[in-house]
Amino acid sequence: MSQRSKVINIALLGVLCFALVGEAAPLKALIVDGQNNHNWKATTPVMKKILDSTGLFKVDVATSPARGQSMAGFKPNFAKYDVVLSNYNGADWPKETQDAFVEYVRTGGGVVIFHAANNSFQRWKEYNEIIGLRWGGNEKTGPYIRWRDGRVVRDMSPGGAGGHGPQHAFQVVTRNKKHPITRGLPEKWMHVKDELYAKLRGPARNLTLLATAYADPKQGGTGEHEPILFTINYGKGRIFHTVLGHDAPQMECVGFIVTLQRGAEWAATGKVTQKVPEDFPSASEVRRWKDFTNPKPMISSGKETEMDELLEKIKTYDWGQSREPLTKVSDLVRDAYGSPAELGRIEKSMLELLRSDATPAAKQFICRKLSIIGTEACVSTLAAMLTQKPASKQEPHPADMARYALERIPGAAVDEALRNALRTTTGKTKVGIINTLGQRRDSRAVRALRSLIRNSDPLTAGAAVAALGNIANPQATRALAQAKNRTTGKLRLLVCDAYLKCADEFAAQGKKDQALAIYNELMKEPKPINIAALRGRINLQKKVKK
Amino acid sequence: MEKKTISRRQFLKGATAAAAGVAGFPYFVPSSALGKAGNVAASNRIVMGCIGVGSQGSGNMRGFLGKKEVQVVAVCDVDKGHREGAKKTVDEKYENNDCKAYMDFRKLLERKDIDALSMALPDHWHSIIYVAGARAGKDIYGEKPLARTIHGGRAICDAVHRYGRVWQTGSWQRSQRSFHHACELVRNGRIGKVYKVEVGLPTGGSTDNKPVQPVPEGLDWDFWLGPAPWVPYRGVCHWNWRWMMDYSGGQLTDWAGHHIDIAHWGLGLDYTGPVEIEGKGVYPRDGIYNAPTAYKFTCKYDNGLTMIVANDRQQPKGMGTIWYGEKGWVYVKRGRLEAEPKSILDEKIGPDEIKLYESRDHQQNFLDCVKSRKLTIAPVEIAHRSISVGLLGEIAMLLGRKLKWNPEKEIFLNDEQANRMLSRPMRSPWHV
Repeated sequence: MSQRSKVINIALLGVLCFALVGEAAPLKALIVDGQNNHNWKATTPVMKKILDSTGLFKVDVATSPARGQSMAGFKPNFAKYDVVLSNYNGADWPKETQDAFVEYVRTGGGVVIFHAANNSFQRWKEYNEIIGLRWGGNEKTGPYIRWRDGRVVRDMSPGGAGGHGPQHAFQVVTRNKKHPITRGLPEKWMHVKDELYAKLRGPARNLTLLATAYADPKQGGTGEHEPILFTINYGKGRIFHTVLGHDAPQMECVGFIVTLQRGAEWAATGKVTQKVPEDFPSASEVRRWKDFTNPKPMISSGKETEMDELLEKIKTYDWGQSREPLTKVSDLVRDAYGSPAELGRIEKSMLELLRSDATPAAKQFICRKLSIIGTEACVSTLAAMLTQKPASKQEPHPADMARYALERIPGAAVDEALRNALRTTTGKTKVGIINTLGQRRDSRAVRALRSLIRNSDPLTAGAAVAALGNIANPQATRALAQAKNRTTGKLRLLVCDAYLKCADEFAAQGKKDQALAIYNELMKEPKPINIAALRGRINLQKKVKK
Repeated sequence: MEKKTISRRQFLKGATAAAAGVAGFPYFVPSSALGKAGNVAASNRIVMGCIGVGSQGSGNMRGFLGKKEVQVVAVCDVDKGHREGAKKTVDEKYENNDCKAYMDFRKLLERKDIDALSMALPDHWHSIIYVAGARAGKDIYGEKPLARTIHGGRAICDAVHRYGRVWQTGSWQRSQRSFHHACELVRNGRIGKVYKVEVGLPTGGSTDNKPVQPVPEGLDWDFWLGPAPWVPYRGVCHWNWRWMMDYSGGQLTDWAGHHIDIAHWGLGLDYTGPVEIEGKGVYPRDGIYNAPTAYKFTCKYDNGLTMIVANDRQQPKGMGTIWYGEKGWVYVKRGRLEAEPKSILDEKIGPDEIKLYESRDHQQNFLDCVKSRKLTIAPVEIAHRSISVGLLGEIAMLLGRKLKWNPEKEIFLNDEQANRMLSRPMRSPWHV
């Protein structure tokens, strides 16, 4: 199908949907997307169709600028809508947009939070009050909400927020049968293979727990009954939060579809007028409706889904196991070239893996990939690895892995993170960071490197000297000139070698006098430095004659 | 930026000519060596240390042991079996117990009595150890391929030039009559203007999966890994490191230093490189080995010439180098020299024609140059340019797209990711 006829078809579909619902579509819904570490290009159309099919909604979509682009112009008119559904997990919205959203909810607007939307905006206080629980954070974020012994428990024990084991089908248990959203649903129903979000934390104020699922430790779970569906009241606003729906296939679950439809209606109006369908999943059998999942998502190539599934597999990769998933990831990374948006999504998913409890072998592989595609977005995650220690000698050092990526990633933020880590590390880790700063020729590292020449550890001192020789700017040259007269033995040889490099650099830049001064100074050193200095001088004369 | 008209490397490159030409540059000071009496006075022998004495390294060492003007005094290897075996070979030859065996090359390099080094290590070690050798003021016979990365190779060239060292690469085909003759014919226009070269290199073998296992007694695995990312030992170390991209680029980079090297020689392109590279590799999708088994890439040079490098099964002539010119072709591989028309082969190179550097004994050429301070037949910059073609092909195939290369500045012009692949971050504490 040509691009043009695709567009026409999509347009027709829109008209058709509108015609079907006609005048009886009083509820205005807005889906917000545009950035997500999940496959929003595939899931938004499914969401839209699910809502359209109720005949209750007229659905608009507001797509934000792509990752890395200015968000300044992103200002959806929330106030126009009865319910806003977030399929967004990305860069901060402009202050004006954030304020408008909070005002919209506070004054009675409905909100639906869908899966990874609860990963977003960690530092936006009101947003976290609106969504109740989130992925990302710690005990300061708020309690874990658990269902224990027949009641809701606010668990304040320390620990990270968010996590899931491998995807699997699991049973959802209704904990509140009187709420409009869950009224009439079976007590227990099977959800299709999906991520079971666990360990969510948040303010959890005015939270009504509707349904939980047992996160089985055999499936990498917490052993707790984790919140799956819940509502929040914020001001006059109503929020329905579902953690289900990792990607389009997971959205085929009838349980997901029906709870999303009911949740959206409740958020918009406070009531639910829809009937529970006959073929709702049972306590033991999943049920799918495939009408809503477009086999060919409108825009997405579908690669991202595959990538996330592969990365999930790779989390447990160890040496000696099949590296086929690794090979596939390499293929996808290669094929994403030229699409900054796609590369950005891949990068974000990879960084998530680095922050997870994935195996060292998995993390090493990911660092190799990030060394090629990584951007400054990697800095905080990789910088944190610079100060980590390996669990045993039989695994790669996290700092070596992090440097493997950082050394090749351009950007002043990387240099800055490396310089900061220089202050907090010792021994081989520090040596590695020095080497990387030298490779990057970071001129702003000269001051720190200069003081390291006097370090009592010969490896550290030698590395600092070599790094200065690589940087070879006037400041580094001065530092080496001073160090030469203060050092002896092996270190002095290294200083002279680095100093020679500075002279070569001057010569290459046509600064003959500076170069000559260094060569003359080094003529007084023993072999092999004096030989190299003589050569430098002869070379310089040849250049002048030309 | 305007001011920075030449880079440090270009400044140093100026030294290449100086290495051969500068008179009164007597760095080679005969060392006082003791050993079994020979035709050469002990005090005039070239004192050598051998670093990396596995299969190729011990072969090279035996070659040097057979030279009367050489005294081998030290061997070094991270595998106890290798270094003790090498010491035994040396001591038996000299009928004494004087050869010192080292685990750490840095200790060997501290020895002031050693003039020259013979080095044969896995590729991922080359830049560190070759640079350290040059910085220690030693002349070097170093195995090909010159380096695992293009920046690594450039750093080696810089250090060798900076310290005025004599360097010979183990690209010994240059010291063979057939290769020399083939190159002279092409250089002197016997097949007219050359428009295409095909270079055939070996096809890779099958992959294998191996479990993590204990490190064998006597092998310092951490040291062997050196700058490469840490991985557990899985039964692959000597020889088979070639099929793992952390240490080598497979058959492609192993043989680039032979047949691509010869192709450049015949074309007079020893000091430059292609401007465009594009190709496809077949990589094992599973198992411990990941270097390409089949590969084919095309290089364009700015004189319009095309060089196609591929594994032998994808080349019409198989292994070797074939130059196609407007008037015929010349094909050479080990043990074979062919041409079209055949009569070319009988032609003599006249006195006014281009005479290529002549050597009939690769190791002897190195020793002669250590004494004369002249350029060897396979100097470091040439070795760098030969392996660069292999490394450029490797990057283009891994990225799966056409790359534009500036051989003067040694940067890719159209691909930021490719530029990141010109060097590799090293595991601490290693650095060049």
